[in-house]
Amino acid sequence: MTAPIVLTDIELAGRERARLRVPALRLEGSRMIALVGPNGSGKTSMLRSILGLESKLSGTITCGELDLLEASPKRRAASVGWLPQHEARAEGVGVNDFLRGACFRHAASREEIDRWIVTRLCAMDLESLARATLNQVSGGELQRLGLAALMLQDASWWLCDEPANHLDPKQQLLTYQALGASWCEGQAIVCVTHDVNLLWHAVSKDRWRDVRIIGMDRGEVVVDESLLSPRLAEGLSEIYGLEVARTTEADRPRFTMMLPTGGA
Amino acid sequence: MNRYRALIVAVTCLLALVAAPWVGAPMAEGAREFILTQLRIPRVCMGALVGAVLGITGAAYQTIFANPLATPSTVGTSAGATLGALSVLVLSQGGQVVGLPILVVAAFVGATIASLLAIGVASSGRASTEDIILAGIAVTLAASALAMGLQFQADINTTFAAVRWSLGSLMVIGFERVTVLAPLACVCVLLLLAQIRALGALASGAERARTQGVNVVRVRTVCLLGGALGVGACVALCGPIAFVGLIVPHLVRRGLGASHRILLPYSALVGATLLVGCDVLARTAWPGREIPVGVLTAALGAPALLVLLFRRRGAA
Repeated sequence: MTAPIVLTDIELAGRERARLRVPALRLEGSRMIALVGPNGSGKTSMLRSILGLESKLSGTITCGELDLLEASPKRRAASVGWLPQHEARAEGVGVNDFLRGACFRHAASREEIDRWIVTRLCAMDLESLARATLNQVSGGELQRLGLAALMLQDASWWLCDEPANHLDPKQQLLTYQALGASWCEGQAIVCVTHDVNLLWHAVSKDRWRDVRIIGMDRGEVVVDESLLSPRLAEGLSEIYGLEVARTTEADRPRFTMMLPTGGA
Repeated sequence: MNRYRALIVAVTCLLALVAAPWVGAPMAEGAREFILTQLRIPRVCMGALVGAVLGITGAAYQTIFANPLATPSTVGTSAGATLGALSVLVLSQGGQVVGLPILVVAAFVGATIASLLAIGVASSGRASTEDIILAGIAVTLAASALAMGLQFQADINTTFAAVRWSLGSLMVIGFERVTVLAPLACVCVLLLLAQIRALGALASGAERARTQGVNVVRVRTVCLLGGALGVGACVALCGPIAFVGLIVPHLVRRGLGASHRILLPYSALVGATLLVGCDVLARTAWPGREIPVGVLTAALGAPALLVLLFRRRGAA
């Protein structure tokens, strides 16, 4: 059972107003958690705060007994791992070197780490990239390599920041299905997304009620509902400032943003 | 493929280093032993140590600052060391009244103060790599201005000695300087080699590395202090030598790849070979005279860097 992440009295200072203000929030690994909200609403700031990447932060964030803001980088890396919006493509860095970085927290021999990497690449059907550099792989492959890195880091929680950003629709679907499969196997996941509908495809129908949607606006949590909640459409409408309708297509619910009619 | 290439490079470098003392003007029979054991072999040892320190420090700096232009010269380490050593040279009238250790300590102190500024900027959490390089350029300019002021105040002989020293030279007699430099260079190289795993993770970005368990501030501090120790000692004993720290990591990356398992040790090895090669050229190119090796590395390094730049653009 993964220890919960608990945020208490969190305030992240910004230029004019707090970028993040969370009096109390408890994230349980038993539910797949999606952070939604418009740009600048504080989703990424929340992930970065949990990861210890923000300096102007007050309050406490714990994962079980561990104070994430005070923990050493290695101990924090055992609790929380990060899939950023964009992986940096450092010039000349090979796929193997990139994945070795993900194993930094493990006190294992070089041979053992190399063996883990080969196994992981084979399991994800990426073994053809073993000798490539990051500059040579496609956006979709890079995203899957990011997932492979998360798996190798083997943190209790995965914090994924728009993991399907800039991917084509099929790659988006594959990415969310991979995340959903990992969650079903017991991996705790928080995922920032702009498309709630992808979550219907991430997990099977019987697990939809375990998908928790946390909606953010102006740095605060304003919606906290299950994916199946009848109040979710109203909540999404509130945070995006657009009418949101919930419809059903081929036995699968769907949220539709109703854009204003007429041209510019 | 890369493994064989790396092996060939290693063997070639080692053979070149071993052969270097025997390259040069023919040695008179009676003076052969003195020339070899007191002039050429110590000189090759000196070149190998300085080249190794500059090469590996350049590779580490380029990673910790995520900037291909980061070297001891651009983050202010060399300028700080130069100012420290120059202060002692000028204040002691050409270095006549102080010994080598004082010169080394002064250069190390100068390099450390300059590096501490970079560490200060780097440790501020939200500092970008550009901020650190800009801080390094500011330190370099300030140190250069102070150094020029010191030279202006000194008498003509001291100024001449300081100018000759600032051109960079590996000319030594006997092993005295080698024995001073060797332990400091070894500590520097070993400190940086101990960071291979962390530097490998840092290549994917400082924030990414932090989330993977790397103590980024500590790695940067160790690398900067290790670099200050090695570069400070090199500058104190040989004067500032430009471009080796910049060009060598790029050569290794192009030839053998960017993996830090290869990049760091081979930057030391190729740096050592390159500087010794330049020194052989410096002492043989102009019969009867000698070109300061710092002048030669700068003269060869600038076009080499331009070639790399154009090749990189062509590949893009």
